[in-house]
Amino acid sequence: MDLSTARHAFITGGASGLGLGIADALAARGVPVTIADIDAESLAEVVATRGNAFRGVVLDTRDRDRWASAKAEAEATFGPVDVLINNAGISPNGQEFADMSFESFDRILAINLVGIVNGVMTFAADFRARGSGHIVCTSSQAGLTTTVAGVGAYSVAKFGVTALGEQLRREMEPHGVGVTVLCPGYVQTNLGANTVKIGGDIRRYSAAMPESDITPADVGRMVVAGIEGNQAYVVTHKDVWRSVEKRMNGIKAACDFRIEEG
Amino acid sequence: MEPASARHAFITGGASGIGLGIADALSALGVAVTLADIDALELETVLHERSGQWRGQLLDVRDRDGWGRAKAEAEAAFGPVDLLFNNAGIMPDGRELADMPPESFDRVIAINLTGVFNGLSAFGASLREAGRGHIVNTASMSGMVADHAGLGSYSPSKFAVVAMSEVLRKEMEPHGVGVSVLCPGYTATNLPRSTKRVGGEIVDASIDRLESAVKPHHVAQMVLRAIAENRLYIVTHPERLTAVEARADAIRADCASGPACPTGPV
Repeated sequence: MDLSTARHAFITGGASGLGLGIADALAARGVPVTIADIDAESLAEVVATRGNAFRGVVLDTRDRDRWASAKAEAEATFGPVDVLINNAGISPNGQEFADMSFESFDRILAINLVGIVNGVMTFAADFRARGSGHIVCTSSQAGLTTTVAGVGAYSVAKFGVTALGEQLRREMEPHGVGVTVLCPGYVQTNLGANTVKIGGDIRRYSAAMPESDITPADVGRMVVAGIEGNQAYVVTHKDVWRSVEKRMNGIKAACDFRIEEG
Repeated sequence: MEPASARHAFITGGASGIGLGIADALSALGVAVTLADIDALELETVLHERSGQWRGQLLDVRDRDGWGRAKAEAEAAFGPVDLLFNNAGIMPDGRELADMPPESFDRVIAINLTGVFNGLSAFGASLREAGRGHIVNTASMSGMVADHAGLGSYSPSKFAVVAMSEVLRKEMEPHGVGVSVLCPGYTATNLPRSTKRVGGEIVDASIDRLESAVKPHHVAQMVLRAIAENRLYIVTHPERLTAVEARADAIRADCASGPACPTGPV
């Protein structure tokens, strides 16, 4: 999609981290942005410093009724949304599956996977009817491979998002709507703090977090290029390919395993 | 582990299709079998036709309290479970994501994905404690490639089960518990009927037949061999590898052709 024709971007988890990096990059291209976030205070702070092309709406991406009213409010101000960035997410809990509480598993799934499909269900039919627009779904490098320890439920949700994005791309392609799956590695964000704010426990995971040399602004630029080139994937850390390839080789070897029918 | 050395297999979705195929194959090796299924009538019919160490367990895999009871009752009858098959699943409705009612998406996730997690919650710790056993999670070829419109809820649920199995395998390996993920292509089963029974609609039934059918009996033989050799992936339709490779190529292309960026730790 040519971003000079874009009219209005709607970005979940937009008040900080990757979402804000993407919002800034889109605003720099002249696209008005609605940042949707669960955190009203952070929203107010960001909007106060960004000028008239930014607008905030409070949204918990798990709340399906609120999605509809958030869309209506956003479009009443800036007109129809044609760029949807389904980005809100929380961080892994570091637990093994055998020890994981139901609440912990459910929370990650509800926000990181179902929250994204809620956005798709709110906006995708409009995009398809208009025959234009672009949808970005934030997955993770943990949505392509499972090499990192302690990310069980997170990987589960993010693999789901990757599949969701791939599916959606196929379904939207004939209608002129682009879809990109964003697969970031570690980026300097508030993911940990934001996860704790909504009741998540990251104590066992945060110790395993390596330093990152990629900023949300870097990712924002990559996403802008990904939208303009209608890339299927935006992978922020190119080394991830080595893990994807290793996994692929495992699957390939498994395909040699056959038993004659009888 | 050698399947013949197992004592008690617990199989969800066990009253028909792939689950029943696995049950028959294990029973032939002398393993006691608990068939867990949502369909009481089907359980009764299957058990009526079989003799020996078989029992039925009424279970909706979404029912977390039910899982606890099912484990207790099963183990009271046949002793500790050492083979767990998280196999119950339903098919998608065939709608595109833009047209899908949220309840339809939720139903597929609750059964195909969270149902598997519920099984791990019930049995994972005791298998780890016992230091032996094997877990097989049923995903699908749609857990490796999402190349067909109308699988919008199914593919995410199945990709997620593949990821869950990969992680679980690493978590269980130090404790001597094996993990496999079964990725069947089209198999001659009752999936459409099982889907309708839990309220699922099927708008486009053609999504059930993307490739030539294999038989549950054949899938079961592969599963038993995979348990013996502790194989991670079990692929029944290797001809789909082309699609999986095409997907990997697309990821590689975007890794290579994307905008320049600093490289960080993987």
